Amino acid sequence: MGIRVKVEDVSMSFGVVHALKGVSIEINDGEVVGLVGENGAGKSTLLKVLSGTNLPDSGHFVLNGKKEKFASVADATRAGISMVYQEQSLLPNISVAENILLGIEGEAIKFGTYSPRKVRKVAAEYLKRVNLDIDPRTRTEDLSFGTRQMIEVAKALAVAEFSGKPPVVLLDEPTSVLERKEIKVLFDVVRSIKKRTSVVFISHRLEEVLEISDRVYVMRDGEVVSEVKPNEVSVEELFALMVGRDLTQSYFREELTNVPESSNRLEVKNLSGDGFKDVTFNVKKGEIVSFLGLQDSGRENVARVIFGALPDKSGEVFLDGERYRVKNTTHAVKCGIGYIPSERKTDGVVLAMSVAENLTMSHPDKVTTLRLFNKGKMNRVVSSWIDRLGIKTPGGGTPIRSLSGGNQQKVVLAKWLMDENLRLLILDTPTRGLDVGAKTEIYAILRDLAAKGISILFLADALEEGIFMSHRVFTMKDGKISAEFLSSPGARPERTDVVERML
Amino acid sequence: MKAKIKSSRSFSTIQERGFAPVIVLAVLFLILYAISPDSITPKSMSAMLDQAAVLLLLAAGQCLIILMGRIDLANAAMCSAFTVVTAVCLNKWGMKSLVLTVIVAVVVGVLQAALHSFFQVPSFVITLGFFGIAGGTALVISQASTVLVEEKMRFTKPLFFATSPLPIAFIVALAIVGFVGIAIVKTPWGRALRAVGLNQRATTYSGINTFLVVTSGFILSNLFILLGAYGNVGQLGTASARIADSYLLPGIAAVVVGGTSIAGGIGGLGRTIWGVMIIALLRIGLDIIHVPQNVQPVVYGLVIIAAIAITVDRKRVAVVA
Repeated sequence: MGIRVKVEDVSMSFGVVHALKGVSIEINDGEVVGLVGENGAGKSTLLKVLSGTNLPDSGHFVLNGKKEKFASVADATRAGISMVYQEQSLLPNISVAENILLGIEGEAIKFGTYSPRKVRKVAAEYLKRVNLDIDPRTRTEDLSFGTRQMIEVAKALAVAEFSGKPPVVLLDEPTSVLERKEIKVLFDVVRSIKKRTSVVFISHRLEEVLEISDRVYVMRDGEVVSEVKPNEVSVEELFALMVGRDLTQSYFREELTNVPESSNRLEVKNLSGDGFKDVTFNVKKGEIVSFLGLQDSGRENVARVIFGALPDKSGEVFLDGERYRVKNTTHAVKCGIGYIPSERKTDGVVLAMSVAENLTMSHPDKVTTLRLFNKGKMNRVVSSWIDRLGIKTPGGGTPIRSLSGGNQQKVVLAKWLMDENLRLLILDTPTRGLDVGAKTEIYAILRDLAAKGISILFLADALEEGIFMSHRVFTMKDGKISAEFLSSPGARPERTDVVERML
Repeated sequence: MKAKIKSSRSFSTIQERGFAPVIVLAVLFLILYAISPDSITPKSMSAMLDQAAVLLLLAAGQCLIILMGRIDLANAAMCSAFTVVTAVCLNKWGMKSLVLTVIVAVVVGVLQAALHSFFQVPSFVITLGFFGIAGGTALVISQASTVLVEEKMRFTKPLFFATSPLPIAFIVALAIVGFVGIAIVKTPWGRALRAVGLNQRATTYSGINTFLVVTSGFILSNLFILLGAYGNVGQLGTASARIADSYLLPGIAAVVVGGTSIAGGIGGLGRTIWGVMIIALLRIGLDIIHVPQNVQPVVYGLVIIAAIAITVDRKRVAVVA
């Protein structure tokens, strides 16, 4: 196995920010290289340097023993390196085949005319390579997000191979928006293409990186701080390497685990709604209950119905023993229920508003006098929450869009936590897309809330998260609860048992 | 990564803080003064503002709707209809019947909001429908002729024909608009109104009853339009089915020129006040340079397009619901 690409001593800065400081990595033939690090560690910048999008200030590549520099994406493509973007780059209104060969039609164009038949034929080969059994003539927008992501991979392969060299495919967080089933398909594809292809893979889910990579580079503050083999480290150790702190605390903050009270906070009896049926469960005071399930399992809708964002069809819900008939979200909030939606940017925050405005959105009465906003109160309340949750922001007046995902999510949390009557907090994949440092902070906040007696209904983003964060795990499948597991430090349910009940 | 290039930053700061309309107003004023210094007298300015009172009320109503990320195409036509209704009521039942006009305005607002929310029909469709309804109803009620108001509105008439050098009608309208404008900035209700315009889903998920917010916006907007109708009756003493229709474009122009985002959420009534003054001054300017009345809508149309093209935040997908 030879060295396919070598990055030597690459540095790059944006203004005063040193994004990369003398980074050197190697990518071998047919190898999956994982890149991990907190947000701002330089992973994405490094990938952009490799793909020719970012031009480094210094340093070079070594390809086939020759020193080279890329001046553009075209240079990288000529060297066989191609990137799969986080935001999809496919054109929705043309066929899959046209998308795959867009810009690299090659032989499909003769004497200036385009041969759709030829395009389809070539595209079909690439679709086969990524195990997709679809007609190349399908309009791209008719496909699911996961399928389109796979087509992106096919396109990257096609682009990279157009160079005539063994392809190098760069995957920047390809899994953050995929469902578990789709991730499995993606990984199968990665495994099957790697005979001829090298893959560089970024993900915030450390379990995934360890699962798919042959070798992992750990980055911190623009430097490669270590290189590890997946079979030699655990998630916890990898996490410790990334954050670089001496961790007496664990990733999932299990040391903060509390014992729930015995009385029920939420009782759901035979609840049915859009996409789920006959769901019965309870959440005790101070208990974290996690729900795991695939996209169509119905777990999101259970949460939305309890919060009043969707109508129920039948069944009963009790809150602290009293019948709770939810009318709408306003009513739910009045009853002491908080909800953190899955899509932070579109549903969780109002991006164009400030940190303070978002933070006080649900309970503005905390910062008003005689129904008018009181600047002094607003400043006091907002800065106290900024301090308490360690929200990194220049101030309350800062637009929330300029904060990192983790800090935005903390603002969303604070929005609910400021209600001293908060009884139940429902979280739909609150850690999706956050870096591990932010994740572990959110975990700590949830444990702390539970210890204060607040009940938490937690729709976990990843299997581990769901298992390790909760006192009890429910799995859902096809709109029904399929199993219940008890979970406590040292006595966690087996991954495989849980997965079995989800699929 | 962090250090993205921020070109035209100074411009956008001026824009964000709402200074741009003030500058435009000053420049417009100077140009006008340069062309025709004689036409700028305290008296002419006062008359200009008094004439702008109805525009201010209609623009304020439009601004509330635009702040919520919607648009009201019925705005001016509804004012015509309310003017006719007010005139007929006054003739038949006297001042007491103004209660009836308030009820009509509230019902129209509730209907618009309800149809818009429950059937999830975009506001421009609903209000386009109401544009037709208002026009037709006004024709039927007025029997397609001019209604002379026998009993003039005792309390609005003096506002317009006062001998005072101050533009009383404009000041009164300003006070009302200013009051609601402050409420938008200072109350949770006002913030909810802007939040709905920026991101209705996130607002709902925050536990805010967005239907009530939208309904309140439509009701208030129609009450502003009704006040505009009172202004018409007081000012003109007559009502006809098309009397205020030409206010639609200048009204929207005043809102966007004032610096309220057409995509919703950003701006407010304070900015709209500046926008109204710009449009009022522009109207005088067009008269001074002898642009015929018939051509003036062309100018307002261009002003709207230009103002939006210059100020639109292209990072946000601007879709008017």
